[in-house]
Amino acid sequence: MKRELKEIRLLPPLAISRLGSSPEPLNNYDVVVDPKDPLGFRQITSANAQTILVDTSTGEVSDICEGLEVTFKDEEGRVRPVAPFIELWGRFGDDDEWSHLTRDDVDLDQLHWRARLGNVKAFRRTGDVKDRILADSEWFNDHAFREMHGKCDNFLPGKVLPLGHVQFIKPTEQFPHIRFRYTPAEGKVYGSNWFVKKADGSYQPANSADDPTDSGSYLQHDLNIADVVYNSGPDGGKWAGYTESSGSALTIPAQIYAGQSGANGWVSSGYLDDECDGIIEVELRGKQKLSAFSRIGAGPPAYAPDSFPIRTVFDELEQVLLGWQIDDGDYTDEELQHETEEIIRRAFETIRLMNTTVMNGNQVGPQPDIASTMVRQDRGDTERAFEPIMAETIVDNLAVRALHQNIYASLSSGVPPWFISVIRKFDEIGDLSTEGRRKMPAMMRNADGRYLTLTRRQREKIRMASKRLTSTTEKKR
Amino acid sequence: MSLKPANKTARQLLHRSVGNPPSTLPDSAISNCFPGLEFDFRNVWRRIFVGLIMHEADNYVLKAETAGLKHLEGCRLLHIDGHDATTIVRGPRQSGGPNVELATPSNPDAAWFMEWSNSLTRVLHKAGQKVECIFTATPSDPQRRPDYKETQSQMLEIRRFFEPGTPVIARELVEPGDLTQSLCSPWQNDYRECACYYWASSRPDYVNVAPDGDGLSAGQNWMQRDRKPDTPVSERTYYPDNRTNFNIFLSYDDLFRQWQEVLRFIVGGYDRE
Repeated sequence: MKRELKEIRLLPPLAISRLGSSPEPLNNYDVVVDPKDPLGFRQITSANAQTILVDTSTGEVSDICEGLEVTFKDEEGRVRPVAPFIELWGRFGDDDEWSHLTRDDVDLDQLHWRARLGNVKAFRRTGDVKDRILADSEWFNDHAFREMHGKCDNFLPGKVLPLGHVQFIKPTEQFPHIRFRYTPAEGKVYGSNWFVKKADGSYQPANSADDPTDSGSYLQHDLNIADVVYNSGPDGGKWAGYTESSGSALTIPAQIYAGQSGANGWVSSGYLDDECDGIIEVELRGKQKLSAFSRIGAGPPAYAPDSFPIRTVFDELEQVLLGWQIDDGDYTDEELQHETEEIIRRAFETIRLMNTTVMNGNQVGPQPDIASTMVRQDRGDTERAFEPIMAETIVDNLAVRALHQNIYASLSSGVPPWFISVIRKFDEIGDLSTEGRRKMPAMMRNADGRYLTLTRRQREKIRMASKRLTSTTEKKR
Repeated sequence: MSLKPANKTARQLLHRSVGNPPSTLPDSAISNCFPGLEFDFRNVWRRIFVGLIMHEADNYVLKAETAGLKHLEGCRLLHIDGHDATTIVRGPRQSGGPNVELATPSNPDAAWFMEWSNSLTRVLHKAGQKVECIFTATPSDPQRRPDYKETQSQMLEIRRFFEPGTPVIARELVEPGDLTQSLCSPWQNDYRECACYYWASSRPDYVNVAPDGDGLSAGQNWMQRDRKPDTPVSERTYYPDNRTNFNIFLSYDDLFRQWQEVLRFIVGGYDRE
C-alpha cells in the first residue's frame, strides 16, 4: 500500500525552453567557474551532466547518460531545442523533506496532466480577444507525444499555430521517477498572406524592386513565412495592417513587430511567432486529491551559453520572495561573498560581449551617433545633451574588462567593496548628470527605459558584504 | 545556520531537474526587460492591484475590472502606500551645461516612472491588505511628477505574488501568454532591432575579440555576415550596426527565414561554429 502524500509540487516552478527545429534536443551540460581563473569564460562540460534520452514514441526513458557531446546545432545547421523536464516532487508529512516521486509513490492511473499555453502578442496590440492564441492539451494521463495546437478565433479554418509538444514520461522499473517534458516549437514565422503587401494594403508586384519596368502583373511571394494561419480577410482579424504610432496604452517600446512605415504609423505585416508561455498542471485523483502547477516559457536560444545576464528573472523572484532587505542570518560571510562575486562576474560577462567604445557614444568612423546606444536614448527621450557617458579614452573593451577584474580581485581578497557608492540606486534613474550616468551598471538599459539598476536585493547583498568585510578588517586592526 | 522556510523555498526556484541544461533556469533569463527575450517579465505586475490592469511597463491604468474602479482608467499612479512611483529626470541640455529638469513637449513635467519591480518591493509584504494609492485626478497621457497636485486617492488590495507556500507565480497574477505578450512579434525582428545595451550576455554584440597591436580590442559585430574567428586580429573590424546596410549585416529576411543558420553561438567569446 502506498504511503499517503501530504503535498505535491512540480519543479522547477518556472522552466525556460528554447526554440529550435532539430529533432534532437540539446544535451545536458554544466557551466563551471575555474577557481584558478574566476573571471575566465565558464567551462561548458558534460562530464557529470546527465542527459535523459526519451523515446517519444513510447514515452519511456531509453537511457540516462553522462558525458554526451554538447553541440548547439545539429549537422544540418538546425538549432537543438532546449526541452526541459518538470519533475513531480512530494512529501509525506509537514516535517518531511521533499523528494522526487517515483511510480512506487503514486498510482500512475490517478495522475493526470494538463498544459495550457498562450501566445497573445497580437491581442496585446489589437485588443481583439479573437486574436488570443491558446493551446490546451485537456487533461490526459497517457504517454503520447502530444502536439500543442495554438487555436485562435481569427485563424483560417483548420489552421493552428504549433506551440510544441508535451509528454508525460512513462516511469519504468529502470527509470521510475515521475517527470513531464515540454518540447518547444521550431522557431518558425507564420503569417497572414502568401503575398507581400505594402503599407497602404496594396500588393507588392514581383521583382519591382529589381526591375522598375516590370509590368506588376505578378505578386511577390512572402518567403518569410512557414504558413498562412491568420485570416486577414473581411471576416477575419486586424493584425495584418494593424497600425500604431504613439500612445500611453501601447507596449514600451512601441511598434515592436514586423512591419513597415505607413502614413499613420508602423503597419504590421501580420507575422506571428511560436514563442509562448503557460502552465503545466498535475492532479492526483482517486481517494487522495492533490494538485500542483508550474510555469513554462519558450524563448530564443541563449546564444552565449557560458555567460549570464547581470540581472535575471531569478533575481526578481528572489526579491519578491525574500524581500529587498537582508537579515544578518540570511547568509554566512562566505555565502554573501560568493553572491557578490557572482554579481560582479555576471557584469563582467555582459560587458565582455559589448563593444563598450561604441556603447559609450564615442565617435567611431566619420559619423557621430552611428549606433543605437543609451546616449542616443538619453537625447531622444529627454533631449539631454548628446555626449559620451565615460571619458572616451578609457572605455575600450579591454580597459573595462580590466576595471572589473580589479574590482573582482579586491573583493575576493577580502577588501571591502568600495564601489557600493557608485552602484546606481533604483530611485536614481532620473539622474542623467555626468556623474549619474557613470554609475554602475553603465551603458545598459533598465526595465523603465533609463539606465540599468540592480534589484534592490542585489545591491543590498553588495552593501552587506562591504559591511561585514569592513567589520572584519577593523577587527584585524 | 539553518535555512529559513522562505530561503528554502527560494532555492526551489533554482531547482535543476535531471537532464535540464543551465539555460532552463530563471537565472539564465534576462529581467532588465525593454521588452526582454525569454519573457517580458514586467507583465507579472499588470494585475498586482486587485481590480485593475496596469500597463506592464508604466504607471498607467489600462483597464478597470470592476465598475467601482472605472474612474481610474487612463490615470497614472503617483504614490503607492506613501512611496513615490515616479521621479524627475535631470541632466544637462548642452554638453558641460548645468543640470536642469529635462522637460520635453511630450513630457512637460520631466517625470519618469520607476520600474515596478524595485518600486513594489516596498509593499509586497502587504499582500492581501489594502494600501493607499494616489492617482492623477483625471486620465493623463503625459507622465506626472511626484508632487503633482491634481490627484485622487484609492485604497487598493495588493495581490499575492506566489501561490501560498510555493515559489510558483500565482495563477491569478499571470495567465497563459501574459509573460510573452509584449515581446516583439516575431521575436526574430527584435534581434535585428535591439542593441547590446539591453542584454549582451544573451544576444552578443562584440565577438572574436582580441588585443590589437596597440593594446586595444579588435573584434567583430555578432550581426556581421562574413566574419571568421580566425581572421587575423589586424583585419578584424567592428562595424557599428546602422540597421540599414544589409550587405554587411544580417537582414530582417535573413532572420525570419534562416535564423538558425545565420545566428551563431558564441563560446569563450568566439564563434562556436
